[in-house]
Amino acid sequence: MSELPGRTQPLLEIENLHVEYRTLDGIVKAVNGLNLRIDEGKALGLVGETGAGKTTTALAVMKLVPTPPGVITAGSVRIAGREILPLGDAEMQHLRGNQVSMIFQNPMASLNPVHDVGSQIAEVIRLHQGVSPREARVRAAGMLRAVGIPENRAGDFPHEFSGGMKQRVMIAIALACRPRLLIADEPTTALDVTIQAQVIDLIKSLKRDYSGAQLLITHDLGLVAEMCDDVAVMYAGRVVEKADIAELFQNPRHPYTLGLFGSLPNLKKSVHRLRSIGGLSPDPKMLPRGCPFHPRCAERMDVCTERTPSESVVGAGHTVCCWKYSESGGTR
Amino acid sequence: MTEQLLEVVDLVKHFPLPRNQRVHAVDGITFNIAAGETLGMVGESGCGKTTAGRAIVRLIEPDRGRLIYRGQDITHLAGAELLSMRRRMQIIFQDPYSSLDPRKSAGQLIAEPLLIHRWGTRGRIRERVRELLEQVGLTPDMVSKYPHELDGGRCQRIGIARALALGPEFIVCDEPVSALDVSIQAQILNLMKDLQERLSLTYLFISHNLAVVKHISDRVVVMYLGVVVETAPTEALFEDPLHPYTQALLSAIPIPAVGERRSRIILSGDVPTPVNPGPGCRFHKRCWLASPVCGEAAPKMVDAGGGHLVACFRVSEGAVIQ
Amino acid sequence: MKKGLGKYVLIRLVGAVPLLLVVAVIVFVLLQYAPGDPAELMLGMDATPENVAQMRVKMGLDKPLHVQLLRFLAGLLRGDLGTSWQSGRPVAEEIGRTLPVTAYVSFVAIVISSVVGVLVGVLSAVRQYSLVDNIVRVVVLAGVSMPVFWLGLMLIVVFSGFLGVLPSSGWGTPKHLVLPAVTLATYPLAMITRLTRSSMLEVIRQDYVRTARAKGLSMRAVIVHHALQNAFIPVVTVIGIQFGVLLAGAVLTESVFAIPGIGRLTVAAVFARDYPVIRASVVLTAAIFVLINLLVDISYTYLDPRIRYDN
Repeated sequence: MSELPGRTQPLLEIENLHVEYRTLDGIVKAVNGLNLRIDEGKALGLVGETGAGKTTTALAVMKLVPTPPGVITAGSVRIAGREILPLGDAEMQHLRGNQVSMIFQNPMASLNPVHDVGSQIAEVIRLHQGVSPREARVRAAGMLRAVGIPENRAGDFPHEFSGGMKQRVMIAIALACRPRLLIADEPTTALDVTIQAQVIDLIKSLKRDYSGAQLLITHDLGLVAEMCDDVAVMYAGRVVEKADIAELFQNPRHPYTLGLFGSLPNLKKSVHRLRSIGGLSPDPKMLPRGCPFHPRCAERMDVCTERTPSESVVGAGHTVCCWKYSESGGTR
Repeated sequence: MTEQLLEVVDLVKHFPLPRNQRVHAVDGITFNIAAGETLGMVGESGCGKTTAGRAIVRLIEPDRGRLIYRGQDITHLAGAELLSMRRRMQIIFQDPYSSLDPRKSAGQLIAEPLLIHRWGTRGRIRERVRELLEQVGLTPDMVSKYPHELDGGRCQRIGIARALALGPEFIVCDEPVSALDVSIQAQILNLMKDLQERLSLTYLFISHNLAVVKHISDRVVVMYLGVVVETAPTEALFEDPLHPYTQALLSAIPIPAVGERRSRIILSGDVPTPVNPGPGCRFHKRCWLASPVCGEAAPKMVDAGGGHLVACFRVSEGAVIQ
Repeated sequence: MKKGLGKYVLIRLVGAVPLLLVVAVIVFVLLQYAPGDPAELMLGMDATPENVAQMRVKMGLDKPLHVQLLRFLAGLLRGDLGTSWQSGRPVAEEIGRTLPVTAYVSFVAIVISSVVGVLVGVLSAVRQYSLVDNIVRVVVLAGVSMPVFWLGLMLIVVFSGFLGVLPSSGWGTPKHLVLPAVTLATYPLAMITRLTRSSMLEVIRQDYVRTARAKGLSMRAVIVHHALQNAFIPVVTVIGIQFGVLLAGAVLTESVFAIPGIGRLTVAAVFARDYPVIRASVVLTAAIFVLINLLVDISYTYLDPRIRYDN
């Protein structure tokens, strides 16, 4: 870390990741050559709409893509410099919940209804820290306190908690072993606004104590602005634009990113009509040739329908996959 | 203000639970909707906004209160009179998939209300369905598609076409874009605005999404646990919220912009359930400004000027907010 | 023991009394419509009308119907099941002789089918669409479709006839137990396997199973600690129902293997129009189902903390 001033060690590096689901209806190309890196201590927001491949990307990092039908067909995923895709079950089990952990979208269904919450937290502690059951319960109670739930509720079952409280329990499970990478997949989408605010506040405050890097998956640009340092915009299984948040929010370049911002009703200023993007996200079973966004793109050029653009650097740490910004001007 | 289209007066709807408990889903709400406006209704889950919307179009029977539509009391309409009122009031639901019968094609779904109301001959109905498809931005070949063959945005367009079929003047929109992705949501919101202008529609737009409500509404009603806590023209509500709950709600929304440091009010505790609420202001247990009086009696709606109504003792007693 | 359990059980048992009385009335009324006069049947074809009339007095059939009914119900409430017309012995004694036999075979059969069914069902679900799963699904289909008496006869042909290792019928030694228990276990085994498989398949797709995997647990640990208990909840119901069905008397199996169980007792009573025995065995069956349902409901509260005793 110190040998390269100004450039911290990447904690998560994903290169050219391809994931597909081989179903009876055809091959769903969920992730198609995704590149991503998160530096130590940073939070990256991965933004995109339904079907963009956000959750599949997260599951690939955990090596939890449901198989069958899911297959990681190519690419490299490195956590703290260590390539994980070739790792076996036992090694992955050692990483999961320990070095990398995950909070899921639906807190209502993510906890086991038949076990009390204390034991669900204690389980991950026992598994990775090799402590006695009694000690694990004590530490679990400590984690409950850390997420703002009284210790005496450790013996209660998930159905005795509200949605917001369940998500707190999930956070306690995820952070119990102080993972180096925390993946949060739409952690507040199922919650009411005022409860979302509590959970965001909690994750932000715990970040300082518990977690190294964060990967926040969301469709909500507001949440990214609130919680992240960097942002990557995903479309049809690829990252189409990435930058730090100040750069991306002030200077979005990719036509899809611009379309997303135009689609958002703004609380600060009133517009009569939203600048929406026409059309629909492509069917991942039949991705269009060339840039997957070209059928919806107002600035489409001939080359866009032919070849897929690669990353172009448009600013400090700001890259875009779009022929408009390609150095070779789309003639390559 | 222009002519009142609908007056909702002290509307109450409770649902019984075992052991003498009652869900006070809607507990005496009063507001007006003017012809041609969009009234936004916001609140969190369990605040009663969906129950209110359904009671207003008489999909569920209110326990108490009155609904006055263009001067006529429609609270107890029945039979043919209710049916003819249904031509004028329609509703669009949140989940475009589960609110459409999966065994009916788009054409059949849109034609259904026309058939029920004996709107015209088969030929005229077919013509009308084509016209409606075009109005909601669907191509004529969609007529034979089934809901499972369509995405959420297109399904919601069918839901809208269905609601428009009989030429209503008032539509309750119950979270019509909540299940949709941002880019599709924008398309539907634009469509709804266009239709409103073209067909002079009046909307009651129910949503938990404040940015969406701000975008589409002329005025906004804020609900909390079955009661209205604040009503105001949109600009006034978002610029100068008076009720502490509204203030907390607004400050809790993550804003998609950088460099704006806002002071956030983070409410403690969960949204309480509307089961047998005690006396006093519904919000007092989570309110950081509550005084003893708030737990004893429910504050009345007072006019803070310019059509800005709020139910909070701090306003009614002239205390300074913030 | 959980709080409130005793009170809950008491309420359920007291509540069962009216139910059993209704069952008793129904069976009483239905038997009035059964063809044939029990007295004539007892005495045979040669009986004179005088003999039959005397017999009817002896059996109490001369009394008005409502008196017969009230006597029967009053007896039931006192725990007196009456006397068998056929054997002349108390019905309670007849049942006391046959029920333990049926209960023994049924218990062995239900234990075999539960243990094997749950294990195979879980295996089949975890390895969905594998060779094992495909074989299991075919065998299960055969198991639910096969007529029990035919299976019993086939087993007798193979194990008693060809191999000569097991007795074909009778009762008394552990060897006598094997073929009937296997025959009886087949249908419940197939049902339990099938239900465990589908229930397990549903559970392993739940979010909390993914959470458990994300904690770093192995698939085996996830199945054992997280999935099994959840998947077991619907299976318990079926085990209970199947056990009840077995206890009510497997008429065909008991006949095929000549086992002196309650099924055979009931069938013999039906042929002889031995009303007291028929009535008692029907009411007993209803009572068994009430008890088993109660046991199933109690086990729910241990398996699923969301279910509580109130109401």
